[in-house]
Amino acid sequence: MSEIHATAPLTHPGSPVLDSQEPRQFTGKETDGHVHTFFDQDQYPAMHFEDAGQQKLAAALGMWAFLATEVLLFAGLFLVYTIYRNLNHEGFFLGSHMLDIPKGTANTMVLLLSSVCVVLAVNQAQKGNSRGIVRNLIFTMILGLVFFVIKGFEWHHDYEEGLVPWMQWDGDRLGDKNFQLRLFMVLYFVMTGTHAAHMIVGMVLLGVVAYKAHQNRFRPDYYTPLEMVGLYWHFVDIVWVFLIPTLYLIDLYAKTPGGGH
Amino acid sequence: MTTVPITPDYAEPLPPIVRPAGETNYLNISYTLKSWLLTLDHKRIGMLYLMSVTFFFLIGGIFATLMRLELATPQGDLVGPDTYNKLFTAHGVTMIFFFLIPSIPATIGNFMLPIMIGARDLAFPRINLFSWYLYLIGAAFTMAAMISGGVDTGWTFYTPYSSVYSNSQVALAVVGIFVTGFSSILTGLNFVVTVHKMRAPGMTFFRMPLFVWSNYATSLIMVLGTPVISITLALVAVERLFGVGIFDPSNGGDPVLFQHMFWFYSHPAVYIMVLPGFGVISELMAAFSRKPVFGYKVVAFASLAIALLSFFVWGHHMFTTGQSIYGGLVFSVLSFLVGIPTAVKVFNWTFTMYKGSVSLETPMLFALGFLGLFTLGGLTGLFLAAVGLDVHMHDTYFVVAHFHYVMVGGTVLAFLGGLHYWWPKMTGKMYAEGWGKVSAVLVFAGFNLTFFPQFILGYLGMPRRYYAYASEFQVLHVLSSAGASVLALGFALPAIYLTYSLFRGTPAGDNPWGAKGLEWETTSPPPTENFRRIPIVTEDAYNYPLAEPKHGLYPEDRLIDNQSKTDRGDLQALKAGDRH
Ligand code: HEM
Ligand SMILES: [Cu+2]
Repeated sequence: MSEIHATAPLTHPGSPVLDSQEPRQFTGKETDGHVHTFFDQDQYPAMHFEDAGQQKLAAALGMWAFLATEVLLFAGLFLVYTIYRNLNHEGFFLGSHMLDIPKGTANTMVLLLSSVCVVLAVNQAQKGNSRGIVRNLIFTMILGLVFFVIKGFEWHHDYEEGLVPWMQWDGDRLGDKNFQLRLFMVLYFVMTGTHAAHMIVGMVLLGVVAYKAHQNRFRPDYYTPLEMVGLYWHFVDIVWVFLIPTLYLIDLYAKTPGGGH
Repeated sequence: MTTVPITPDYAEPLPPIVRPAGETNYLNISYTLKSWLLTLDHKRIGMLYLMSVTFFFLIGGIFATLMRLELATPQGDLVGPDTYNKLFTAHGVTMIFFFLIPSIPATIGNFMLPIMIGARDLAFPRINLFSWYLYLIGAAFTMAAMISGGVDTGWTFYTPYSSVYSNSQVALAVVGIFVTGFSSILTGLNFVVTVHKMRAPGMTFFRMPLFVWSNYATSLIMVLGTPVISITLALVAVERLFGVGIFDPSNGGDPVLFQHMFWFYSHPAVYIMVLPGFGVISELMAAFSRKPVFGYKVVAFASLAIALLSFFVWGHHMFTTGQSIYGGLVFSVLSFLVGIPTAVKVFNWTFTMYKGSVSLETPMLFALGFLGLFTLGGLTGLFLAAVGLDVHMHDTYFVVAHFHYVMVGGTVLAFLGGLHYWWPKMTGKMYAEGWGKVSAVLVFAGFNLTFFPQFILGYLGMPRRYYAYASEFQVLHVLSSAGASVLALGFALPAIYLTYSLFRGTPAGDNPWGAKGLEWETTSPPPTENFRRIPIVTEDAYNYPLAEPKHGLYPEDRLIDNQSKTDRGDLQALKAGDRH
């Protein structure tokens, strides 16, 4: 508020006293035979930040804001799902019971484990162990691939069963309510597909960060990209944790939609 | 010296701004095409956006011209119904997604927001550039759809028109909007982080200019609303490309659900379009009345209130879809509530002028035009938010007139006002003030002539989106088409004299308006790093000594020797010379 006295500059700890600072010369500064420009990418903190602390905080807030966007993107899908499930109990019940719970469970485990590996990678970064980072990120990516393999088998199985509405549809399971099952399967593919797309992005990002770690670009006081990609990966996992009960576990022990045990 | 003084001491004039010889700025630092296309400088990206949105404004305008030509006579003699459908879709899609939404934030906002809070750039320069490319890629997709056969659904893409019945290029257009949506999300994200983390020392939240506040509120909507439309349109694309039913009733889908999801974004989106305009008007009112904005904090919070409330009123677009009557009631009441913070702003701008020293330069003329037109647009919004009345007005020209009053009378006028106000800062050149005034008057007159008759048309029952009409409506339609040509002239003028001023304009000086704000403390055009030294902010925004006269309109005893009171800009100092 305005009563804060700004004569005492509100800066981050460790920043130079701004007032006594000479005008900073940004362009044309030459070090090691390399002429720096304002936006040189190999400077840390980057030129437009006052200090490393500011850059870190900005990156973190940026990532969380991006995750907020992602939450609302998936929220749209969950909304459509919720409304249609309410209108089409039988189809959703049947569809859910036709999904492969063991494979879904296995994939949940795989993803949770991959999240652990990311945490371990961050931990290695704090210790300044680049090889440790690379190792753990490779584990993460392998687990990501395992997820896709299992998911691939599952989708293939759905295909053989005739459960893919636009390719292979075995029409008659619910008679005149067959459209309900169709709707469920469409949403199942759209939701798991959107999730898979996010995983692909995540895998690419993990690869980039692993490469940077391999080049020894991180230090115990600087591993922001790794941390951000880690956040993103955790988010993608959490989405899956919501997808599992939503799609696979409808009225799990019931014989009829909404029926008792 | 480009810093704010450590203590705001008006007793001593600020030292003049000395420019080192051969000084570089963001424009003359390099001239290659590559240095523009790969720039990470928010100022250059803002200029790139400015060129792109101007281009799409032209494209959208061409579609509008064709429509207005067709509507000059009751029969369909220029185009048939199908082409007409494609024209209004192309017009709406281009203007909303490729002009209005990025218009103020991505151009003026991109350029000014970091400078106004004393930052050297937006927090994520590379993401900023990426967002411009996303915008272009999205636009390329959608324009490809418009060229290769067009889209006939209206900008609203209502299902099942768009999913089952349309045999036009819906999927392609929708993919383009999806991509552009991400450009808007990234801009918003960049702004949010910049405002939170990049403010100069002393620049507290309540010292930020209101333009920053309103862009902040806009960014929140961009980040939280845009993903919903993205996924909704993606579902429509999936439905069309794969031939599955999601919103298709014959497959158990619910077309009205699409409308809910569409408006959940698209109502807040109208505030994405107008909130940055509000911010511009706050700046202009203060600068050209020489007074702080009346009720600064209330105006700041009103932006946030509008952003929040805007998420809960979408149902007012759907009163006639058979939504529950209680739903309609609640949405109606909530829509009236949005009117409150909006009206607060209008009152506060008016009070800012009260007893101010108002001067009528071009930006202020646009701002005054905004005030009148936006008020009319907002008030007719309240008419439409009344359930009973809306059943009569829905899908008539009354709605068309309403939203053009807020979007053109509001946002576009604010955009032009802001562009003129900051033009000298952005380019270092002064535009031709006389032509500016002509343009402001032409736009105001042409706009009213075009759109006021549409209120009457709608009230008399003329439905929107029709290529032919009953002959008793012709007089009003001809008035409207005539007004449109005046309006077009009014828009063409700035394009010409602003471009001209780039090459032949007189150097503007660092602060031609004698305005307050960090952007006026740095040189024009600013250097790449915005400030030679990061300023330390010691005073509130709009710290004009109360009603400090600008033109000697008040008796001498009310002047407190204003020459020594503030740092007057070069131009003002020159002007003052021949007034006293
Ligand atoms: C006081 C605030 C406002 C209220 C209460 C309000 C209310 C309404 C209502 C009830 C409708 C639906 C009319 C119908 O289809 O029957 C409507 C349509 C519309 N409004 Fe507003 N409005 C307000 C401000 C704005 C602003 C600021 C903008 C844009 C900058 C805007 C843009 C639109 C647009 C584009 C439509 C038409 C959408 C379409 O069907 O194509 N409104 N408004
Ligand atoms: Cu609305």
